Amino acid sequence: MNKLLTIAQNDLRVAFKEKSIWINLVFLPTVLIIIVGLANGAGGSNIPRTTVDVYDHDQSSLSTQLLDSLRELNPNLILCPMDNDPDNRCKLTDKSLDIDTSQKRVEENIISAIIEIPHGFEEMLFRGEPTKLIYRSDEDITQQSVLFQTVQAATSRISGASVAGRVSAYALSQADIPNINTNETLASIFYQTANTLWQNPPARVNYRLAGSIEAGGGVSGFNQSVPGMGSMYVMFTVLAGATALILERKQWTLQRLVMMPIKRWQILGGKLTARFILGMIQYAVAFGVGTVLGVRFWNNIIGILALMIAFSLCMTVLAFLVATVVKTDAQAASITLLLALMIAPLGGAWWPLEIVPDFMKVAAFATPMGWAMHGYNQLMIYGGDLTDIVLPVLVLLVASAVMFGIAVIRFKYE
Amino acid sequence: MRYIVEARGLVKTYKRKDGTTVHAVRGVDLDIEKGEIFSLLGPNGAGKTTTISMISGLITPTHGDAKIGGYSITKAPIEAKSIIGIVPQEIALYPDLSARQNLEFFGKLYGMSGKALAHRVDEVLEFIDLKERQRDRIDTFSGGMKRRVNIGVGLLHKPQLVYMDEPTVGIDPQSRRRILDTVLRLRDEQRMTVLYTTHLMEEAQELSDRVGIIDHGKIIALGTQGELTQQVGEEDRLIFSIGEHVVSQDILKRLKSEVAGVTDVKYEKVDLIAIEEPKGEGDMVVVDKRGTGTLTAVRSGQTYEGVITVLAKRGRKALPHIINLLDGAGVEIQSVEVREPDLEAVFLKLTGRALRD
Repeated sequence: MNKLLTIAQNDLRVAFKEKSIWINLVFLPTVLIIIVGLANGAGGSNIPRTTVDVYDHDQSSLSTQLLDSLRELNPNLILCPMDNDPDNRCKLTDKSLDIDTSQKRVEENIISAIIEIPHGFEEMLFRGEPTKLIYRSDEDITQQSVLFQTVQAATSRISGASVAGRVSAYALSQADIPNINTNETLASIFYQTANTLWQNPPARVNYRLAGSIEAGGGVSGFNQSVPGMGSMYVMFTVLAGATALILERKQWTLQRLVMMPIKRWQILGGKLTARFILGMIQYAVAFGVGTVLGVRFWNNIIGILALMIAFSLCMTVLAFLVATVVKTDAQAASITLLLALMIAPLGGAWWPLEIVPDFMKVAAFATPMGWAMHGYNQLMIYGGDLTDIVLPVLVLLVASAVMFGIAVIRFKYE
Repeated sequence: MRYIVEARGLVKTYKRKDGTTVHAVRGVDLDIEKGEIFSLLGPNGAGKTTTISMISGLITPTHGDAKIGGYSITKAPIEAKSIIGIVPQEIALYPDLSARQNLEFFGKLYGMSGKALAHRVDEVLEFIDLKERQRDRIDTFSGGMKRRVNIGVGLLHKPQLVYMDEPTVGIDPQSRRRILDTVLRLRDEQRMTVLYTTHLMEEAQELSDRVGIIDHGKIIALGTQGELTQQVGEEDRLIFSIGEHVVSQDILKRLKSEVAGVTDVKYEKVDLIAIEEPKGEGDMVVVDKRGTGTLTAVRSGQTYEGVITVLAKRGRKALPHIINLLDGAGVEIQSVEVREPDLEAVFLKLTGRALRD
């Protein structure tokens, strides 16, 4: 093990003797993190807010609860005119708001939809009579929008609570309990209880809106650019190991090591360990820059570290594999550059995968970068936890193991 | 134990991509005694480096095995390699690191550390005469200095056996002289055994206690220089340099048939490599005869030199007759060299080719 570490230490020393390493390790990633972060909307939410005109004809406590549910489910939602602010984010004019005006606003893409809560909404719901919420939009009905799903979710919640209240009241009335209130009063009490319980339902869909601002999170373009550019530069730094390995064979230092009293796995282990450490240093630089730029990730540090380790390992093994395929250091340099420049954008390092066509979203998962970025996005944008990165980490580790197996068979020391 | 290297039946074959098989080494048996300088002499591509690569554990033999200090290189490679110090033909050093950093790194891999390592590195730097430049990066060194550090790395752990694979390739005559002296010092002062490969007969002759001549992957002759030259009898070699003059086959046949004692005649063109810039057209310039280290002066613009090699019994007696015959045929002789039987002659006799071919 000592010899392995000695080799790794020496390789790191050789790598840091190259003055240009600081440009690739620190300067360029920092610049790109800032530029790509700003391009992806840093300094504010990069996701446009969804504006909706609301006509609450009922003005009841239930209709107010429905609107609160909408806001809670989708923090990007602006309900007009009630959520308007001094900057007039609802883009209202002097003309009073009516359905026709709102219809025009939909056509002009000022708002995304109109929601009408009918008169008697609360009363009819408590009585168990059917009532309809009106949702107007010009969106494609075959592809339900996030907004439509939000409205459906909020309505289901209120309907569910209402049904639960009525079922409970009916059950009590059948139980022949003396001094009991009327069914309507009971239904109201049970509804309130059910609605409260709904706020933390026993079973729920892990419903997240792409790009929405998680409570207390503060997502910006840097949440995309820090792991994205960090991972891309990990690729550059680590894949350069292929060139280094070929160079060592060319300058015969690798053969000299083989002819010394050292086991071959120690030589290979030392070489790969050095590259892996360089990858982790590269990540540390990128996330350090991210910290300065206000990206918060410490609450997910274990998950982030797991992804860093898995991706760096995967790239280290990929570099090793490349070294078994190419013959010269020039070929190695070209192939690694090509790989990095292809895999980085394809895997979502440059921009969020949400904005790319469906076939590219699928293609992203054919790359290690795609899995890594999926994991980082889960933790840093969608507010996920460790369970959300189990699959990406596993995929990266399995890919590493498979590539390592192939590379070990193919690698020639002499 | 008398022998430090005992190689038996070493064979190395490669498969080319086109499916053909290359027999790089075809069954080498080799015993090297402790404390001797043993040279493996042969032309480029003869199998010297492949043989040494098998003995040093870099490549696995297709067949056969070698014992180093009693340890099999295939079965106990770590123990065997601990006995060997390697000096590859290439400058196997990290060019971005200093001489000292290179020595320290490889020293650590030989299991040294702390003060013992620092002390040994100092000793080696002293031995290779590079103490003054120890902090300088390798890529700032001259070819000869790099070669010396390359040797130094191989000596770090005070090995019983040092492999030196053509350590004088591509360096100037002065540096070459220095390296040859170093090899002799390893045997005489450090009591090390040296396995030395070269394609230069002069080096093998100067350094070796014993020589193995290798060609086409087989050792074709083995013994002391005296033992080997006895194989070619009493023939002297007369070497005539004739500038760019071309000699006909007819003249060569006449030399063999008309001059008493001549047994073989050969004509060849030797490429000349200028090692200084000519001052003007027709001036004399110093040239190297195709990297052999043999320097001569020729008129600038001359790219090759015609050389007639005559093998003759009692060469000095035959010399005037040969000169007369060549003179009569209009061949202008520029210089004549008479050589007693040597390893070049042995190689010529055994293979029908010169070592340079």
